[in-house]
Amino acid sequence: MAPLVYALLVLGAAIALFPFAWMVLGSFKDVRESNLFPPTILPRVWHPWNYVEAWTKPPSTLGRYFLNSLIVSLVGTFGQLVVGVLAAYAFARLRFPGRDVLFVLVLTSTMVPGEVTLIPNFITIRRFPLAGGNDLFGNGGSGLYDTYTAMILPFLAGAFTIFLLRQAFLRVPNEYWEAAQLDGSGGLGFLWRIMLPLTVPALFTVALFGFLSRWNALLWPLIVTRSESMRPVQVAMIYYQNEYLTDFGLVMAASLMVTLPIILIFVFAQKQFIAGISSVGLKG
Amino acid sequence: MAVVESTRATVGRWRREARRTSGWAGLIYVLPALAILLLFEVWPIAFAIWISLWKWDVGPLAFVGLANYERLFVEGFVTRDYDDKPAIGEVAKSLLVTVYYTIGVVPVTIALAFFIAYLLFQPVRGRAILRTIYFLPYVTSSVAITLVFGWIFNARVGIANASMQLLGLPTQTWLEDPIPMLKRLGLFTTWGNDFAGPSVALVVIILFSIWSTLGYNVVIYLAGLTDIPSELYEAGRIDGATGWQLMRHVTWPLLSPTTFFLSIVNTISAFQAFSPIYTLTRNTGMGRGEAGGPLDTTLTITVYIFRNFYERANSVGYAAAVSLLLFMIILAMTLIQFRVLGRKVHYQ
Repeated sequence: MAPLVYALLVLGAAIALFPFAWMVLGSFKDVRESNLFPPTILPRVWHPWNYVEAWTKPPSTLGRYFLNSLIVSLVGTFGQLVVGVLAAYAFARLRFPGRDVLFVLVLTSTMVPGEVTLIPNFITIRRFPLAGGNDLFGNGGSGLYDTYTAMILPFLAGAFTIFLLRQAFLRVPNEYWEAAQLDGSGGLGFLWRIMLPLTVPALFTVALFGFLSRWNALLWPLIVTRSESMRPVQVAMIYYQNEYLTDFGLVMAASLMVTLPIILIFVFAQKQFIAGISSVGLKG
Repeated sequence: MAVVESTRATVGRWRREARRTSGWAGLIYVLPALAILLLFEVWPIAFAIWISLWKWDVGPLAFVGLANYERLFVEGFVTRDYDDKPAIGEVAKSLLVTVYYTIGVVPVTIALAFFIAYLLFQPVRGRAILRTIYFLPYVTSSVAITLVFGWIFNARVGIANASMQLLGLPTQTWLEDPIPMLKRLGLFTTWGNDFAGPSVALVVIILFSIWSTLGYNVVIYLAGLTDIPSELYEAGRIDGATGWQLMRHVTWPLLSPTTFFLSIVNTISAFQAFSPIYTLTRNTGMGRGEAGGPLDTTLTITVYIFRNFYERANSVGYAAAVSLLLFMIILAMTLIQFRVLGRKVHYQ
């Protein structure tokens, strides 16, 4: 391999990493230093207080935004797994009326872009019957608007999840199924004791991407929440951007804290990330 | 009547099948998934069509029939400027911005990704670490990381301008600059601003998008590369082919399905781009706090839908109409993808 080519690869990697480095360095600069031109590369005075201020200053504190994001990401991902596993198991192993038609329906739903569902779903959430002071016909209250449920419910049935898990379940050899039938343990017992342990990698991949997409989400949480005590971290970043327009150090400290969980998960589970992406071309 | 009869026949068939197979259990397992998909993926299409026939704010105000579509297809494409001369309408301009953005992002990303994946596939030192680094921007893509770009390209104190100065180039206002990039470079100076390519502001967003999606494309190409039998390379080498010839005549053609898949997927997601544009342009407009500035030169179709839906009064019905237009465009691309790839989803 020519040294020049290698140099190009390393240069590209440096460009990929630069924003992260700039974020880390910037997070230690105080407001005056982060507004110098030309900028300093290393902080002249290391100023760790940005982290304290970024954590405590906003109306709900960054801790609260973290809690909101954790609840939405963890509960949402867990729900997505439960709903997805049940459906994928049925599609892979059980014969039931209308199975093939319904599976096609699941696959077709991936063709509907989020921009189309955005407006109707927002109205569905606001007018959800018998929630948030609404009557049976969705009038009178605010429905599921500004709740965790609003952020979780619409994304519980991931078509890609069902597709991926079905593939994994189909790869489990038939002999297991037949043996289980002889033992008289069919249905959910078989799913729980045999299928799930055999398909842990697929489940893990699905969980990773489920968590990632929820943690990084902006548009939907932005429109279905109003109160700061409900909003997740990425929406909180919009708040930081507005409120601390020129205090770049503080914004960088908040950015770093918000991104760190994803970086850590990625570093420890990158094999699953990459396997997941290469196996279905998953888009985050 | 025919419908009733065929429904009855279907139900009868299902009943017989239920008796023959594992029964209704399967249907119960898929029920939660189906209910959610129906409520939040299928029903919204019909509901969006219904909303698009209304003047709608927080709730429906008045039934307007096809008026929103008239606004979309007539005023949206050709309107009149202050001198009463014909000018490009909001929708056409927004589609044009979307196309600039897509052309700016997709080919460059794919070319770079192919090149990087090809190099990473060779036995180079530290390839695992390099792959991780290239992939990192994709998983961390979010508002948080976008704000770093906002600072880097800040007109007043950004390091981008410091670098320009260091190279002896004039500093730029980047995200605040609505002038087309090509005009800034002294090209196409007689063309109208709308038709001379992406604005400087949009180019910054294009750079961000290339940076953040490159890793995804590299990983897909790497997966494609593992599927190419190594005998092909060996045969080529025996025949005396150089590295460049192998890449040009073996790797590139054999990866064409991957390239096609990536072209479609990237184009579709370019048409749906929202977060980076929303985050980077909200403070660059004329002080309205609306994304899409400066002078609407970063107002892609998705941001345009959001503006009408969320930031303008009484325009929810109109926004729904525009979203259905976007749906048709994306659907057409998806169907082309399915036809060409023979309904094969990209799995191992």
